[in-house]
Amino acid sequence: MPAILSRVAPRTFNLIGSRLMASAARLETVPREEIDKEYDRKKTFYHRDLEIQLAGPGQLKTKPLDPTKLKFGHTYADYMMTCDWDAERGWHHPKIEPIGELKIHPGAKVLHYASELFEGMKAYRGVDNKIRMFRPEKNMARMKRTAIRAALPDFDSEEMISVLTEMLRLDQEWVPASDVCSLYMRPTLIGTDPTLGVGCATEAKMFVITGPVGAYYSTGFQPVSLLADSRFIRAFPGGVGAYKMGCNYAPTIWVGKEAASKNCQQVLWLYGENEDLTEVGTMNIFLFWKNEEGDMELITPPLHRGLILPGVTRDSLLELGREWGEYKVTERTLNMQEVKKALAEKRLYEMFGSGTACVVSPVGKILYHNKITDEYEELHIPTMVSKYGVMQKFYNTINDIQYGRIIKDGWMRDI
Amino acid sequence: MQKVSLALLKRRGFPSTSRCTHSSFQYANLVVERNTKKQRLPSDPDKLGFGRYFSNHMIDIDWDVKEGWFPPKIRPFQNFSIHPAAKALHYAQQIFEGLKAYYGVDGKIRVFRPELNMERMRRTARRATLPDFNTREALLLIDELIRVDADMVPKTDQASLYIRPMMFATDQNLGIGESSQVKWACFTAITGSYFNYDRGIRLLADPEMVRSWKGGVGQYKMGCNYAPTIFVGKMAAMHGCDQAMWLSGEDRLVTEAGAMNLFMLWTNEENELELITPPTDSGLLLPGITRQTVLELAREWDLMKVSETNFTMSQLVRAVREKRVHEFFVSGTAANVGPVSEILYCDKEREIMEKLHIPTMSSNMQFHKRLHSTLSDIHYGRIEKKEWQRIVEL
Repeated sequence: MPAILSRVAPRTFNLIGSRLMASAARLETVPREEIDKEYDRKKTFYHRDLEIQLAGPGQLKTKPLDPTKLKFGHTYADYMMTCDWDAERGWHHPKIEPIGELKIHPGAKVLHYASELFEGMKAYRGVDNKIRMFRPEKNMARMKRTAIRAALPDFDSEEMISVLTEMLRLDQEWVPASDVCSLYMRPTLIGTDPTLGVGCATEAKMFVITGPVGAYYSTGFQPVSLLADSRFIRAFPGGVGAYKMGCNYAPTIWVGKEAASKNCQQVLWLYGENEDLTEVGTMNIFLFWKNEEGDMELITPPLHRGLILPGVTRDSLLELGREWGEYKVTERTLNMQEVKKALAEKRLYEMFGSGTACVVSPVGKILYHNKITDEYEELHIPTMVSKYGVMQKFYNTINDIQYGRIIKDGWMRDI
Repeated sequence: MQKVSLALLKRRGFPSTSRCTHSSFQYANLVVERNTKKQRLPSDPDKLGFGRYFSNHMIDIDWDVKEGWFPPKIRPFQNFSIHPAAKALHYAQQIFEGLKAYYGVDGKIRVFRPELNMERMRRTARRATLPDFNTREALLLIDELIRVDADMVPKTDQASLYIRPMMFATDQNLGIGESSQVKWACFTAITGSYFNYDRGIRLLADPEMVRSWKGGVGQYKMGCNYAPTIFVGKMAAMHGCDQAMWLSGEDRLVTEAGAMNLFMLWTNEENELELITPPTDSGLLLPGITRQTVLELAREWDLMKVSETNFTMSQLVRAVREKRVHEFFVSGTAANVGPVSEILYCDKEREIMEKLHIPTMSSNMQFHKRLHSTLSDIHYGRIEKKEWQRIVEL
């Protein structure tokens, strides 16, 4: 086993840590059983309270003729969901109404202190014309965890999924009839109370918008080039890298521009002295190689340091990989030196990102900033010519599951 | 300076885009729409709190990648209409500043070193990939906003007018990248005191709660630096503390407290009396305007060694035990200078929570008090320091 493992063994919380954590633990999310027991709007909003305001004929938009050409996040469906919360009364009634601008107080915490979090998930129209959501409970569980960390209100996953289902019924014509398109759903939770103190929001708003997205790979897989430069950082221990809070994204925009100026499409986020690989752009990262012991192995960095977003696609790939049992599947820390060595020894076959938008995204090149020489090195990753087809098999299988061509128990929710 | 009402502008048929400018918004293009309603305020300044009561008007300027800056508007204070896909709501593409105007003993309104805030805002804008603007034009607009709401500036030296310039991304596109539309806004809030200073401020220092990191954006006033601290503030409150004190790295450098800079007056290891504050070149902490002012005053007074040097938690603990720490205080626009009376330190190695008593309140020198009153004298015009006081001509 490589020496690196011992250096990054999970840090066990000592007594003080656990005592401090114990106070945090009191803020844990409310379990479903409690929601079923009693009606309590302090704990969640309820699907049964849902108010629907139908769009007038003039408010319905024309659907795009060719959904495969739609770019991500430019076109929105007819409806949005909103639900207000305040500390005194808890959640108000959830509403589904025609999409429109939100009225936000200029002093709202969301505009100053990034009191905001979101999720990204998708609904698919299957080959049998049924609409399905992909593992929505995973996104909702993460959203609940994020809400606790962001000091925003908790809610119940199943109530939220029921409301999302209602939205999809209303906007069903917006779910494209194509097995390369989908309806992207963006649940968002923001702190809205108008006081300038940096503190817990006493008012919040949940809202969901959706929009059709076209084919990510209209002309086959496009390998991406990554800028790997340890002078930029995405997440750090003691921070919030493991949560889908808005604050993790703003600092990356400028770094993304830096990458673009060097002809790279994405940033490979490195962490620490050893330059551990953590994420790529806003995706998790996977690597398929023959390890130093000569085993074929699929590797992705582990979650325990809190540097990585626990992706739903990441989790799905790990589960499929382990189920297939064709190679070793490992969650462990991996650094740039190991990548460079494996490349030099021609043991590295595939590297790819994983995420909701694209499922998988092959890496073709890494532009690596060597911090010792202060020079850039070009590393070519042979993902596109790999004879193992690991990434391709993941892509096909996930797609087959999402469009209802194969059944994977418990992964798809029918509408 | 030409100022015409919005209605008049419409009647004259100005197409609004013909007055757009790329390099910066222009005060000369300002359009003022007066508010007919007036905000009611509590008469007791103690009830004002921080940032709860807003004035009647605000500055609102739109920017668009094609047109540049639209003519600035001062309009009645009211809600923004924001598209639910706006980048500010999802990816925290937002920045802000905080500065204050004071009603002086001579009846003049003074803003404290506003050009430093605008310079910092522009540096932050660059890092946040938001558009640049001209410092002078921004200052002229802020002057005008204060003039329009001049009766809101509290006529007491216990309160002030807090000014909050902000800029955020408004385009309706969920892709993570530069925004093609942006809003620059500024409003003001009537503000009492931020802390109860009588018992001193208590800080919680937990090395597992981290505010910033090398390679991050800790030195910029971006919204994203604040969201993660809210939960930590909640934990601090659970332990009876007012704020978190932020430590950094393996050697636990002391960096900031809450959203403020910090200072320590101590007898250092070389037995010199020293005012020490961590340096800003690490990129881990915000270069505060009050911080800079305190340093400048202390150097001018020359009563002690003044250093911008890192110090670690273990140095602090040892100095407290050896009774070498005389005063510990925080500095910020909202807080001015605030004394720290206690630091609750989660010592992971010794597995204890150690309460460090800091004798700031009972120190012989009362250096923090001298700073506080000097700053206050400058704010309220009891002392003249022209280069730090921007007078708003009424």
